[in-house]
Amino acid sequence: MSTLADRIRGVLQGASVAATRVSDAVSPGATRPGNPPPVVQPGLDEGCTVPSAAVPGLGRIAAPNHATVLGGAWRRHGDHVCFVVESRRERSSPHGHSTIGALADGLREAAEEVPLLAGFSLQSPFMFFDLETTGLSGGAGTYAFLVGCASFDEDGAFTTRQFMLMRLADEQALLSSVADELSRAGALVSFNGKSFDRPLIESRYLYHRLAWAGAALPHLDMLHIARRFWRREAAAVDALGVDGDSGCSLGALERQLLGHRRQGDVAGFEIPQRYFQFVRTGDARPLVPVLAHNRLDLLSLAALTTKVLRLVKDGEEHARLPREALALGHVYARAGLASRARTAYLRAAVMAQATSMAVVRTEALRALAVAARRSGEHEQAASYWRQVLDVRSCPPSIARQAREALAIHYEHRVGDLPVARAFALSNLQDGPHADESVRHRIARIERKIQTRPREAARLDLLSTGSAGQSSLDRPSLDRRL
Amino acid sequence: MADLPTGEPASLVARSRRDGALDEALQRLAPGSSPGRPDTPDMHVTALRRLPPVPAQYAPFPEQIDRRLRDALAARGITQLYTHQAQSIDHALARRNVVVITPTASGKTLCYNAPVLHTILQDSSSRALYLFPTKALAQDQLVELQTMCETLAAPVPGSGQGGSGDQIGVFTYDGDTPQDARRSIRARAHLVLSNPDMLHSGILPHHPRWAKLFENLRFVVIDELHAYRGVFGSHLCNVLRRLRRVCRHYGSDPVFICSSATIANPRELAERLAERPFELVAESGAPRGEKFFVFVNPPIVNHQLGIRRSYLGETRRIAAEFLKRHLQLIVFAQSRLSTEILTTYLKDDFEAEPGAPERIRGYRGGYLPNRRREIEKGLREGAVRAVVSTNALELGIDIGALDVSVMAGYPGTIAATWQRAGRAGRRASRSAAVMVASSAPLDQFIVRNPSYFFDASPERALIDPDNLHILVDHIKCAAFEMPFSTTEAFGRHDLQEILGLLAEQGLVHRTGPAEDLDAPACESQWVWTNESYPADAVSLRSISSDNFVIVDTTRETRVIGETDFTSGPGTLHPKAIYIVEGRLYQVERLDFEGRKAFVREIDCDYYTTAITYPRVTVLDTFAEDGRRAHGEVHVVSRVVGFKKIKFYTNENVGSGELDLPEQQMHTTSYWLTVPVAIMAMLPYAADDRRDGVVGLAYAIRQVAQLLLMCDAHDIGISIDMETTAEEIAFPRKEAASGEKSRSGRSAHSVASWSTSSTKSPRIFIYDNYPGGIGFSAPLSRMHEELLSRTRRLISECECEHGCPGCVGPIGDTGPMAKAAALRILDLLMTPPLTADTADQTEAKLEHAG
Repeated sequence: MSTLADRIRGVLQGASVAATRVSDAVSPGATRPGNPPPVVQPGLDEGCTVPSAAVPGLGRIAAPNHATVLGGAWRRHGDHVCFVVESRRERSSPHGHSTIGALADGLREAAEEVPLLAGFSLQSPFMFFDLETTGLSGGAGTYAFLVGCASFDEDGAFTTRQFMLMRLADEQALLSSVADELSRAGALVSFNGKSFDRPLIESRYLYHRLAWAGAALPHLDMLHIARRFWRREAAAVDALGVDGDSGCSLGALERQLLGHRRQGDVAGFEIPQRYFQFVRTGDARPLVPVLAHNRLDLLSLAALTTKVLRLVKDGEEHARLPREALALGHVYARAGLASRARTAYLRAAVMAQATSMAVVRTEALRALAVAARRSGEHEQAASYWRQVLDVRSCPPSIARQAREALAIHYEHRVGDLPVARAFALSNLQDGPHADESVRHRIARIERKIQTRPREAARLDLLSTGSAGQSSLDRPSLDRRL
Repeated sequence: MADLPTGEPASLVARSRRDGALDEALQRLAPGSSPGRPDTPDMHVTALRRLPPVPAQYAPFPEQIDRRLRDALAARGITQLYTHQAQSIDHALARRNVVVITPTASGKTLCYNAPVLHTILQDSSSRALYLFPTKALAQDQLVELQTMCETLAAPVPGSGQGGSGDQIGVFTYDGDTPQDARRSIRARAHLVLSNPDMLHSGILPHHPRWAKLFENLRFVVIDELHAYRGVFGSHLCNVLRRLRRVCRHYGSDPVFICSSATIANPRELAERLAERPFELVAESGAPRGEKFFVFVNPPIVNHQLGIRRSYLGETRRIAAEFLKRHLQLIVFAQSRLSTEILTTYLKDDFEAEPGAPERIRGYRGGYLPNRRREIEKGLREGAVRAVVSTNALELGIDIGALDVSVMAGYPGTIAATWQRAGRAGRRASRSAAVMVASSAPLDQFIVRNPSYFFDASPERALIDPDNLHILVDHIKCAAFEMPFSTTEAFGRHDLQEILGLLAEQGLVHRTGPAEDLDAPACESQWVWTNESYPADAVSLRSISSDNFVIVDTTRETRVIGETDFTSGPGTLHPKAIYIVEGRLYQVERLDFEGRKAFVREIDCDYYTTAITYPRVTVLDTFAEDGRRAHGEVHVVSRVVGFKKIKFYTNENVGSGELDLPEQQMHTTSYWLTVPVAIMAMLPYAADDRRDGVVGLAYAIRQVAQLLLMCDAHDIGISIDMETTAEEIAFPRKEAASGEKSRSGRSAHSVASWSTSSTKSPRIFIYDNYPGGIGFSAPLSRMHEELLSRTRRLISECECEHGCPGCVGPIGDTGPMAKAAALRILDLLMTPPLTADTADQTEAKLEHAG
């Protein structure tokens, strides 16, 4: 009779085959138990000083000592103890095109612009915040094994505290320590933290029935902001075969915007495996590059935040790219700075025309049209809408909106019913999207035309002239106008 | 809920008109022939029972019930409780787990809604979790509960009292819940209506987000408890183990309230599922209208071969009798295939005018949800006059009160038969249920022994939560949800040993004492060390979560249905006819790897059934006692061919061979050995002896299903006759049941038992799920009963040499099968010969011969 163990092995056999296949697909040559990954220790975050902690009892331990390997120490926070790796980058230390000191100064000077960006004001110090987790799938079995917190000191240095989960049993202590750390912060700044880091760690606090320490802190998620400023045109993304994040991953921004190139960085998908290997073997060396990776992410996040705030402060004149100007327009518009927004949109429209970026130009012109209408400048608005229609490869949905707006304009403001009808009709010809409201509008215009016989005569002329046209012939229409 | 019969004269008139029509239709089914019924010659009614109306038994509201709840119920016309409701409420409020047996329309929802709402009114932090076997049932309940809560929140007119003020939050939470609504539901729901699948894969793995629910969970309601048997029940038991574990973490200890249809062991099932003691409330206090129950056995058309008229054809005619008289009915078919066939027949008979709403609809799993909701609504509003359904409508989906329930074929269990009969008829009106027997042995047994059905206790529901496949899957899920301690238990097997093996796979790791001397001391525990989300890989409805989708390529490419992995090869093989609501599609290509079947609509007059051959090898014998044994087996099954069966006539109009991948599994099995000595004693030729074993297997399989209270596809059968002989098996899936047996001798059933054989034939009845589902041990215990009932089935059959109702159609099993099978049974049931039993044996043999 087979033993329980044999039978369970039989049961597990099928499952493990599938599991192996999955993990191989995700991480070619991924670390498996007993096959340690190469420990990469290049000058990954060069210039970073991790104080080698004077650990009491050093030398007593034959096994690799975590404190020595990771450069951290068990620290007492109130009545809980947590393993913390603290490091400091001095003012003079470089990061890409900039230095730590320049970033610190830039952030301090531009901090007053935060309300424009976030819609609420943030108190200093900003706490940059990033987790390393045991996976991306979420759920109670996914936990943060590393909580990275960083901020600029008074003297302009950049200090990182990394709270490290050495054993799952210490999680409650880690969360309490993080809570202490966050209590010093005025605001949280993250990259995709609203969708990933915050819900994940929040659920860990819930698990231990502790209050989530960041609940009271305002939270600025730079991913969404970065997307507004630096999202690539879909076409460009396709051409480059870039991943789904439209070139807005922190790594991509770091390279292209901040001018930093990472050497020997650990790939994100490898991180959970490295942690599991540490858990199984007790050897902390595979985690060294993970800690460095996390520190770099925090620093680039800080640099990115500074970059955006500076742009907001300096204004559209300093924008290098049309989309930056457009994004600034949106920032100002949302903050209620209507005229500043229009200046930015105009700049975006001009820059986009020069670089033939159709999407940005259409968006900018549309924003201008909407802004003009809001301030009662209807002729101006109509002019912007016509320019929208002039943009080659203008997205159909926006073209439709433009024609709709122009139909309204000519029907109600100008009182030129045939032109209004022509705009409405061209929307109808647009195919399946033509909805009830378009038909309704056309019917109403035609009713109006019939009650005004003179207009009707003109309508006959016009419809003879434009019969068979599948879209509005702009020059001929302009002549008629 | 107790809506009192209204005294409206108009409705009384309508009711008596309906009653009259019903009487008339029943008259035409009654035995005997009359000149006025040329269309129904010699229709065979074997039983006509009148179930008298039962008056209501009331009990007062328990004193402690919140005044606001009583007022709200009164506002909805409920001023007193049925006895079973009062008892359930008492138990639940005294924190005793309770299971209540609830026939259809007995007001079961109040049994759990009253204690739950009362508790929330008393303490608004209280939470409750309702589990329904299907999403549709939860939707149904949502409407009722929301109405109730609105009444509760509204100020009570005339009492000068405000309502409960804050609305009690009732929400469904299932796969259809939009992502953006989930957060608010987690925060606001007092009452979460969900299903075991969602609890398993969407709630428990995310328990921290549900901390508020789990901290305050006062009640877990499990509706339709009887649905949780076999694999589904075994999974649910483990999901509940995980639920209780999570509740312990958050410090709650919920009371379980379960409702069940009539089964033999509701309390045992509840106690096995929830692993807690339960109180049973078995007596319903609800009133019942008068009901007629009719058993129909289609007449024999060929006495020699024992062939009866097609039961589907009879069902069609009986349904027509009711439809003609404007009675609304539900027709239950045994399989998706016969559902489609019957829908086609009835649509032909009662074709709606073009453009008019369809009056005849089909309904089964695999239809897309929108279509199903539309059909349910049509039934409630009366636009749909008849629905042909699989067991999908057996559970309590609200389709309103129908007049008649017609069952094409015995549903397989007594419990399911009462459930289906219950879909017709509500409290005050007269209703009818008609069961039309197919030629399957089980149907024949029931239709010829009506008292077995009407007087015997219903079946027992069995589960095996410690099936290793199922248990290990849930241990992974539980480890993901929360670390296991080194002293914890989970299920019957040694958890610590299983965790050790999971650690070998790298799924968990046992953290030791601190290696780093500076680290604070901590307990050793098993932590999850994997990136995966294990619940995603576990489907509660089967052991494999795989399925096939059916893609129609006739015009545009679109998905028209889906089917589970195990039935895929049998129903979606190349050239198979796939039917959706009477529309025929032919499978052009089966993409086995991609799990897709590409079909094209065609017009043809046949359907297909697959021929499946399972082969069984014994891996391990758990217990052996003479001729009975049970143990672990390896089953390899393969779809080797298919037959084309003509509609209406059921002629076999062609066949084809197939080469599809094998499906393999380890499972448990009971097997019966016919000793070679007995084989040698049979006074027949070798081929006839072989036929005897085949016939015996055919009959014994049906009786096993009867005794186990399982569905036809829950068990499989295989005969191990000779090392050199090919094995014979009976197709085990719905795709190949029913009519197929009538379609002539299969070319594949060639096996021989030669007189020189030294090997004893064995008949395997295996659990048709990897790892087994707990049928084999009970079946082994019921060995004697299995044999004696099988003997009765065969000996009482009226046929001469075997028919589909006993040992199988003569064409399939040979002319001596019946006699040989009976002789084998007699010899098997005879204890080894002793002097005083010899005479008896002699007599028996005489009789059998």
